[in-house]
Amino acid sequence: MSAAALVLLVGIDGSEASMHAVRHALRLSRETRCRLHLCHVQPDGEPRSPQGDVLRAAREAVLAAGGEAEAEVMHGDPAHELARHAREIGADLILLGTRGLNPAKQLLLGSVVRRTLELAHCPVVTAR
Amino acid sequence: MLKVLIATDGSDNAMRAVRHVAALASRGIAIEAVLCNVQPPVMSGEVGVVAPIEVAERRRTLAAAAAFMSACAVLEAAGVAVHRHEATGDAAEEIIAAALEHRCDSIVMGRRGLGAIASLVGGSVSSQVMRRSPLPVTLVK
Repeated sequence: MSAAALVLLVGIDGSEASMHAVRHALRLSRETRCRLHLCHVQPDGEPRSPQGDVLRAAREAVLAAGGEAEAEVMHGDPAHELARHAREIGADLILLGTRGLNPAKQLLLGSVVRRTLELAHCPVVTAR
Repeated sequence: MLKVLIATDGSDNAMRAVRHVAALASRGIAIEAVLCNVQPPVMSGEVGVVAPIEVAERRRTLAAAAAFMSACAVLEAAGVAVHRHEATGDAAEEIIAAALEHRCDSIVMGRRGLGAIASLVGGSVSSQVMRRSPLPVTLVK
């Protein structure tokens, strides 16, 4: 079947959970043609994370699996930026880790996950 | 072949999850779906002179059959192979156990647009599954 490629936006925060989200995106891309976008959002007012490293590890995992991915760094509110970017690229799915790096922000459900669910135009896949 | 568990209770919410899986199948992904319906345990209040346990159980079977029927129609029309799984107990726990038992790749659920307070309380089945599932969980609004 020659349907258009499935567009997957994976939120990368450097956590093990977000690597699980990458692995699920790779699982989907074994089943059909997918376009992978790896996206790291640098939150406002937080110390700079080593963005390059965070995305590099995720991208290497994709390349090692024989896939290809675009990698993007954005700045601002993570949930808001992910939802906005997902609309921009016409994402079919947003994939996220449920446990970010900052335990203080992980109330019952990660706040980024919860807010992305509210803002996203498409289904959201959470991995942990 | 991707294998997904879809939690269904026959609600509009669950049907959105079903339609999402059907849409993925129509995009060229070969999918096998396990439709999982969990009924709460029969409480003593439901059983008595007017409603012996057989009556309560029969009511369950009928509710589950209705929940499956509309979901099956949508999935089969999209070429998805469908299996059924019925369980009784805690919804989140049973959904996760069924997904692992059937060796699914992921769990797909509908999600109501919960307000901040409802999601903080964390009472919804979807947020419990998301927190506890070792498998990826897709939430469909």
